[in-house]
Amino acid sequence: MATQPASSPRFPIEDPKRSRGKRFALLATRYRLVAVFCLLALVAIGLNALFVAELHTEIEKIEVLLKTNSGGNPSGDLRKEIEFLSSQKTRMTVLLAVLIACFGSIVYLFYRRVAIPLEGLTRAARRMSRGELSATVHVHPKHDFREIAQIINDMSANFQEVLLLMGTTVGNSQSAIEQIEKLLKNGNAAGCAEDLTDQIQTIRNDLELLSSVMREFEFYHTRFDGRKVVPTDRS
Amino acid sequence: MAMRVLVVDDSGFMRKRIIEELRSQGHAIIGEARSGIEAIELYRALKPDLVTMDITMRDMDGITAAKQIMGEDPKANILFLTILNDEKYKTEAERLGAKGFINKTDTPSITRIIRELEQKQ
Repeated sequence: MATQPASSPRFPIEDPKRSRGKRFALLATRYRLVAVFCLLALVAIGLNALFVAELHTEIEKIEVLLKTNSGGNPSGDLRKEIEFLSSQKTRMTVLLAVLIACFGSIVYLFYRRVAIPLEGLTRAARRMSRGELSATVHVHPKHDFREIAQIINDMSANFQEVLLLMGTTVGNSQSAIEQIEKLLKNGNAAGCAEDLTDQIQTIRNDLELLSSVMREFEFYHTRFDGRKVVPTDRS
Repeated sequence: MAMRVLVVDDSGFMRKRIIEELRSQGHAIIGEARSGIEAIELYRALKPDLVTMDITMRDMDGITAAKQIMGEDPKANILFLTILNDEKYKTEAERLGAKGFINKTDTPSITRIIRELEQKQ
């Protein structure tokens, strides 16, 4: 007998729990950093806009004063000062534009990487909750929510398999019951005892299969013990 | 002789059931795949003695994956396990040279086919 591994590897071969935990931790750190960056960008944009507005007002004030005092013909030092203030204003305006562009890019990336995938996940989950089990979520390898998308798809696959299994088993049992009815209608039950036993065995096997499937689930803090639904031990 | 098996099924619930059944028979599960694409990658990496392959899966179905695996390794042992009793799939599986096309719940048939494969090895 071969040595049995503790768990079967899924490609890529790694400890899924550990790598999942690491991925979620990285994701949380990334979003925290983005949030901090957005906050700083907003503060910087606000301060910058305020500074540009103040500079603009100051330059205008000086120009008005000059017009009234020296007929709009300032001395060399004052002209240099006005030019310096104007160039400062231009620099600050450019910086403000860059900051707004950065902030806009972050918001756009957030929309692409978070809002759109989340919308897809919600849509698929909603369809599944309505019974459309064939609804799937596209698992994009680079999306942050690929893990959740995969889990939703897995849940849907499980539901479908269980329902298919139940449908097939029920159909099988119904055929067996029809056979039994036919045999009994012939009025020679003793003569076809072997056939009857076979059909009853088929139904028994099907019920055992359904029972074994039911036993693997836990629902509403209850479980199926093979005969009836009993509360689960919650201690 | 125990076989090294790769279990391919998109449903975790079904994979668990198949794995438990095969392990109880003493076989070693060397990998699990939940799509045809993963199955091909794992087959290349692990070279299992047997692949239990589901038919309907997302990304790539079992028939397409089996075609590719058999194309790369004509000696691959592929056993289709499905709940669908569709003649079209059955014919396709036979044409591919699969070792069987069995209902997932038909444990006696699964056991019999694996035993036959073991004896041939």
